Amino acid sequence: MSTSSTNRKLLDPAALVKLGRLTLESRQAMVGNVAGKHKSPHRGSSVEFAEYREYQPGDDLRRLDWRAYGRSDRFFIKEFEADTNLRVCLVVDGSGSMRYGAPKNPGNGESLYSKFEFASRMASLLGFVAIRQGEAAGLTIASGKQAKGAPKTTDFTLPPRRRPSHLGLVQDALESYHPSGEGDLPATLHTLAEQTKQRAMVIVFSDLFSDPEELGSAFQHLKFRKHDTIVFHLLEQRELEFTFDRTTRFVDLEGGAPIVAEPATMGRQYRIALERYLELLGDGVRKADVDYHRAMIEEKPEDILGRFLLARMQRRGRA
Amino acid sequence: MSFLQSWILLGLPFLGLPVVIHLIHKRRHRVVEWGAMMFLLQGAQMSRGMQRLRHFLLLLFRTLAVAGLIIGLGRPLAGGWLGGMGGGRPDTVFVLLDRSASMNELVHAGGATKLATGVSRIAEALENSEASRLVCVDSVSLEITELGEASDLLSLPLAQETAAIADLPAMLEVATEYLQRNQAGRAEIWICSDGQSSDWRPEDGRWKLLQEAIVAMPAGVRVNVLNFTESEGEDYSIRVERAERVTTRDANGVRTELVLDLRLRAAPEPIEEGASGSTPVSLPVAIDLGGARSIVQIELANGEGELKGHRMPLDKANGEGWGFVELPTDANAADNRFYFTFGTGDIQETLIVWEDSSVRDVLRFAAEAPSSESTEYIVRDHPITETGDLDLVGASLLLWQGALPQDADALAVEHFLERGGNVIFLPPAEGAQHVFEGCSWGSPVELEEGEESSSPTSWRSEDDLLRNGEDGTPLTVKELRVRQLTPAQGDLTRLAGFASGETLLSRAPTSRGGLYFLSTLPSPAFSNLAIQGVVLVAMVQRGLEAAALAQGSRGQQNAGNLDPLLSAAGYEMQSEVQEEWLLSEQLFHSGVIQSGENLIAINRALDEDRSRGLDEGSLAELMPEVEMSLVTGSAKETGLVEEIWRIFLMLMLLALLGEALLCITESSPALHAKKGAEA
Repeated sequence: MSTSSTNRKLLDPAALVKLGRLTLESRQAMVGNVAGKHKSPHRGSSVEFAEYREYQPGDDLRRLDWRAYGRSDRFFIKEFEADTNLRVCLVVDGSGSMRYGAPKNPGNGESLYSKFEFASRMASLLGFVAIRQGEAAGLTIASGKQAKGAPKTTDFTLPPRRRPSHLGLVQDALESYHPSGEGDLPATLHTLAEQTKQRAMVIVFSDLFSDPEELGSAFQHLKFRKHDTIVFHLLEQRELEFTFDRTTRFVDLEGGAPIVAEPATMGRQYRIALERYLELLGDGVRKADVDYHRAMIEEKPEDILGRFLLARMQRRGRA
Repeated sequence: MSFLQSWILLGLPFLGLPVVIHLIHKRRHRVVEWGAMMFLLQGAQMSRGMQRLRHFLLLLFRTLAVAGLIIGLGRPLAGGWLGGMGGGRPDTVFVLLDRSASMNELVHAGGATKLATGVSRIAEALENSEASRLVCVDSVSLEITELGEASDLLSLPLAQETAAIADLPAMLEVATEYLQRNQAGRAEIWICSDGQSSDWRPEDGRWKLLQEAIVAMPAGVRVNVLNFTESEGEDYSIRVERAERVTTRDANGVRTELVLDLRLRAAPEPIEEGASGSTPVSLPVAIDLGGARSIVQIELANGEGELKGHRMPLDKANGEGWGFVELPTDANAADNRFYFTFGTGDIQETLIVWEDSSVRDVLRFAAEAPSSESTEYIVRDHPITETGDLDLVGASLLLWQGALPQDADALAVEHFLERGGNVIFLPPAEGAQHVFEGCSWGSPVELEEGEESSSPTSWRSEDDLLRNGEDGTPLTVKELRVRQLTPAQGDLTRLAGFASGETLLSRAPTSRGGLYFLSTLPSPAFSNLAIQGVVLVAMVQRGLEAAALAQGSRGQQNAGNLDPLLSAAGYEMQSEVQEEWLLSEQLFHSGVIQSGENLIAINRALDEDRSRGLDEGSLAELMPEVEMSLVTGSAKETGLVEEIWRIFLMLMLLALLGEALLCITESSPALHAKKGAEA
């Protein structure tokens, strides 16, 4: 697929080449407007037989199985699996903490991605893969509260569309968005679960720095709505290891009060809190059947996506 | 604790430096924009107390490190004594120097003497003392010498060894009297000695009085003893026990000879086995007579050796003269030479106190019997009822027959013993209850007639009053017949006794001199001692000789014990005089003087050769209630006070180590492992 969108910053041609032959597979049946490559929960006309059921008045007589009638002297309607297209909802966390990025590359002095840039690249690439295979892709940027106790601002939303030009809108939205404020991803996910009537694939890109119980609740909500939820948990190495060597003033990217901490005394407690959070989060995603992936932002987005897509294809037996 | 470079302590305000740096450091820190604040907030809540403790410990360690550095650079001094000096700064410091002959012993081969080493260490220890008065008392003059500063001790002529015996209780008396007279504040008394019992006199009754005087001082007195008990090398001493000019006639004509009895001793506590053990050691002894030198070998076994009756030809015209015997150089040069005179005619005086005149006559006969032709024997006597003016000056032997002395008489006899005199007590005709030195006479006992029951069956023949003759012939003690005896009671050593268990002759323990109890009388009603006079004469003469040896004789005096009248009459040194000797102390060194018509050899006292050193326990028991520190001097120690900067350097290093441990950033291996498993 060659569109003007491939020239955009978020779509690296080399990355597109890497993902060129991979497809996005859903773990469950989807409901779409047009025929596609994914299973649909509705029965319809197709080449793949599903089941027999007894004839009900009003059924299309063309779908009667006369051979079955000949054998059993009873009327049966022959039903087939109906394939449909996929709705992909890309959810990118737009809170202030997503501005955090890996330190400058000591080799060439360049700055690596911030978490938001990283999420944007991943979302763009996945959107490209989805639209290329005829799926509908949309975007939701979860905005944060601009101040402590302030009401949550409205999330930016682009509904899923199959048009290739829609990918340009997605990228424009991501490139123009400036992450800020205190994140409230669970609220965004709850809203998305309510507003998306049909089954969809919800792909979340976030650092998930929220209450793990609230996050678990939001994931449960998505599961209840029969969405296929995928989470890319964006982390950086220092966040896991807290490898600071001297007293540091930590400025809150979400607008909170700064903290001056000495790694020697704070490090252990930080790691204890982090481990506890990861355990709770792990419980939440397991219970909600979320396809969870920890994405270290020191890696290349296409590498992470390549592993993800390949794993899905293998699960579907299409690799 | 004191400091060699106390000006560095001006840097102590820098102890606050870590606190200041900490405060500055808190303001200067790296700024990081951080997203995972929720974990930091949780961590901060959990680690607030720990962080405060860590800050406190960090500041403590850093302050300790700076303190260790500053104090270490100040070169602190402390030692076994100074460590305990925290109680307060002394107002007066006394230095008591034992200048006896044994202090001339080298601390180690090629090193300084015990006295010089002790003086040097005390001077070093007192170098930084802030006492207002520094006073020295030496064992020779027993006079107070005030010093300007501690280093004056090193150049003090009073800090030289002599041949005289020391009297530690007398020195302490001088010190305590000075403190009482001057109403001094807190005082310290430093004693430099080798702990020799003849100098310390542990049996002396003055120790109790000294303790009371010291304890009663309101400001407190601390006594520090630098006790040089160890010897680093072999030490032998030589002594002339007899130097007699003898004229003999034989077929070849008249010969005049000098007869010498020499006794060689190893140090009382020899370091090496060979010195006193079973392996005999033979030492060459040089005999110098009027510049003519000859060498004789004396074999030493079990720590002692002797040469009896060594004869050397004399010029007939040489009526009197002097000489010396000398050992090769060893650890103590002071006991290697012994001067002697001959032909001077000694006087040995005996005092008899009697109750029974017949006994007096027998005793007088025994005391006047000549055993040396060059000695004049003088005997005085007093009835026991007329002892008010008991004059023991000049006497070597006291024969006391009757009730034991009391009051003034007892005191006079005690002093006589202290001077080295010998006393033989004989029992009263009837029992008496008096007690002397813890001993008394018991009830008279009549022995059965017959050889077995009335003759002594055992006696000490190897030494003391009943020893065998020079040719090994035993005394005829067995010939004695005792009919009645009055046993002595008390802590006594039996020298002769009967099969029935009764004692004929016993000896009481004394620090100096000899105290004997003869349980019978030389009268027919008691025994045949008068008839068998050999035994009695031998006992009396040996008692007289031994006392004369210990006290000195007319031609032989102990250093420092010279008759004041004699020395006041003027003298002329005949032997070598060393340059460093003070004129006023010449009579305290070994040598030979001519005073009027008297030629006198001056030597160290006998006790200097055979007295043992007191151990720490014995020294501490002298004044148990006095705050006393004992430090054993040895060659291994370089000083009483040592620089202890290493301790503070270690403290600094430990503090820095602790600080480093607190600063180490922890890592989380569990998360590393988890990281690899995810994504």
